[in-house]
Amino acid sequence: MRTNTWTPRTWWTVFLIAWLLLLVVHGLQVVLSMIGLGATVSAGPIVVGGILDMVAFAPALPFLRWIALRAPLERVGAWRFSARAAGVIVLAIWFSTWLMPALLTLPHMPQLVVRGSWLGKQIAAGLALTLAFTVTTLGELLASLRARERQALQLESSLTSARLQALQAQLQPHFLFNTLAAIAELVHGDSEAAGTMLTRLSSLLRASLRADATSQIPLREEVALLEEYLGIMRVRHGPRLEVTVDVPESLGDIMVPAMLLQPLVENALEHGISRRAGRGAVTVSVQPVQEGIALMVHDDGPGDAVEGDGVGLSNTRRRLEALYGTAHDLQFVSVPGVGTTVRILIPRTTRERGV
Amino acid sequence: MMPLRVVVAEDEPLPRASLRRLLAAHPNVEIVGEAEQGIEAQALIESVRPDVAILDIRMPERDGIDVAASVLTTLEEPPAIVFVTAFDEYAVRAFDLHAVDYLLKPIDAEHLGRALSRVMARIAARRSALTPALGGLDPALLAVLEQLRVERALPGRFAVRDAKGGTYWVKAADIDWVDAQSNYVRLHAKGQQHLVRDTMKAFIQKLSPTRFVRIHRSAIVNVDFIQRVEPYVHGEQVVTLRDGTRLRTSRLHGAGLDRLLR
Repeated sequence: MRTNTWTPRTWWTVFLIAWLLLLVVHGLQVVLSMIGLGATVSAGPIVVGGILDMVAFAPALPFLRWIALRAPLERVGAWRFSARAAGVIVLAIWFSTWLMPALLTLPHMPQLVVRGSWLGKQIAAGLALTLAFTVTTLGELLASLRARERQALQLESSLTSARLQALQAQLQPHFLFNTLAAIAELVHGDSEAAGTMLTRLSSLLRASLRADATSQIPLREEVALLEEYLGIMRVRHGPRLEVTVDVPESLGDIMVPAMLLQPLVENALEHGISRRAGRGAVTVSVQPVQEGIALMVHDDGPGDAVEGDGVGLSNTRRRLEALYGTAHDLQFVSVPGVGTTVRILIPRTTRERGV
Repeated sequence: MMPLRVVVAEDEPLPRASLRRLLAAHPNVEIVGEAEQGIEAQALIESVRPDVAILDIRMPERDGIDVAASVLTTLEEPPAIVFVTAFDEYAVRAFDLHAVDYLLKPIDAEHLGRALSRVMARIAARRSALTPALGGLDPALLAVLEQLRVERALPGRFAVRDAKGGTYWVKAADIDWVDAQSNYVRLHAKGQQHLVRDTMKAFIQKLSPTRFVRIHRSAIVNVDFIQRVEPYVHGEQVVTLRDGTRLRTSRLHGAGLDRLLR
């Protein structure tokens, strides 16, 4: 597997190290408690007793890891995390004090085990498990921090290419090939119409290749581009398609993101026309509002659309975010029986004041 | 020789006119019905019982895949199916894999002619066969259609929570590979990583079986994102992805990779 993620082998290594650390801490505890009790300090009982004690703790380690993963520090917050950690430690101490006597009362178990005070044992166990828990958690935290750092770097490098891709993705391959199929037929019967279709397709392709995700054009030009698109769709679908574009001429100079409307209308046609038989009506309207201008695209389809359907909307959200930050709003409302509406609010800028 | 009776189902008038014009050039082909949408197409096929149904994949109400699947199972002697598509990558991949006839838009005379002669050869073979009723059901075609129907029901995107508590979506088609991160699966898509709370076992069920394969307990890869596969010890393999990541296959899961790359 990959070298920069924690594989099971890495985990077992960490466990082993944590376990050995426990052994050392525990040994120290035993020595201290022996001195405290005035007993003679000798190596044999400490080592054997320590190992026996730690054998009892070993099964608790995977359990600790499981808890650490279920409730990572960064997600649940320090207080809840500490509360859970304390719970784990109490549980583990209970577990080890229950298992320990069970092990020690086995008939052939040598009576070498140190009989320290009950409290001393508890403190030792508590300290040891806290250490194990800390090691486990810190390891996970470190790994996730490193992953996040890597992610941030990748994000930065992919941002530029994402900007370029964003707009090129707006013209769907289905639209392109179906339009070419329509032209391929028109050349046989109506070569003039075929020529018009080709010119319109060229305008759309040029606009989508030229503009990047943050470029803006006057609303007048944006509407003209939309009309090129609608001209193609009207020829392809005939009378089934009913599109109303209502944009006051007085708003023509206001700057809008280039090719903002076309993907929204494409989505609306998908809901309103492509998925059901009969006629489908789509309304495009732009109105001045107090905060700026409101652009609306509505279809009278089934009204069962889910946000995230289709490429258009997520791209649109990203573009609006990049251009206007928090100064924009995008609402997506789908009501069964009524249809689906996308409403976008953007600030009112003209070429002189805008960039 | 009896003319080949053909039904054409296509929602846009111009490609329908193309099919009409191109089919007219074949003297032994007769169009016995046209439909503009799926439900209509299915009813038409069930009533006129054509030899061939030329079905656009994207149609209103019921798509071509669904129409084909239902007439293949309901009719005793179902028509031969020729699909038409502008740009359905998954479908085309599946058709190619199982030698199912399809036409790409814009349709040209040569491809249509080739599809028709294949269909005629199949029909002739079927008519001479001893069990004509069974001869009509092509198990490979049925399997492809079933698979495509399953794929259409798959989620096209996955919701991801971001650090600010918001939600965004990652398109299934954009996923390059996936690895397990404790209780999460990590999606690697277009150079970015996204964590989704799920298990590998459940997540692979939500991905297209023709595009994604589980190669290891903790790794799923997009077949298109594989750059190189090399043998490794114990019959395992090392897969190099287009972003340079190297992953080892496990014996338990490696078979899936072999099947898809075959």
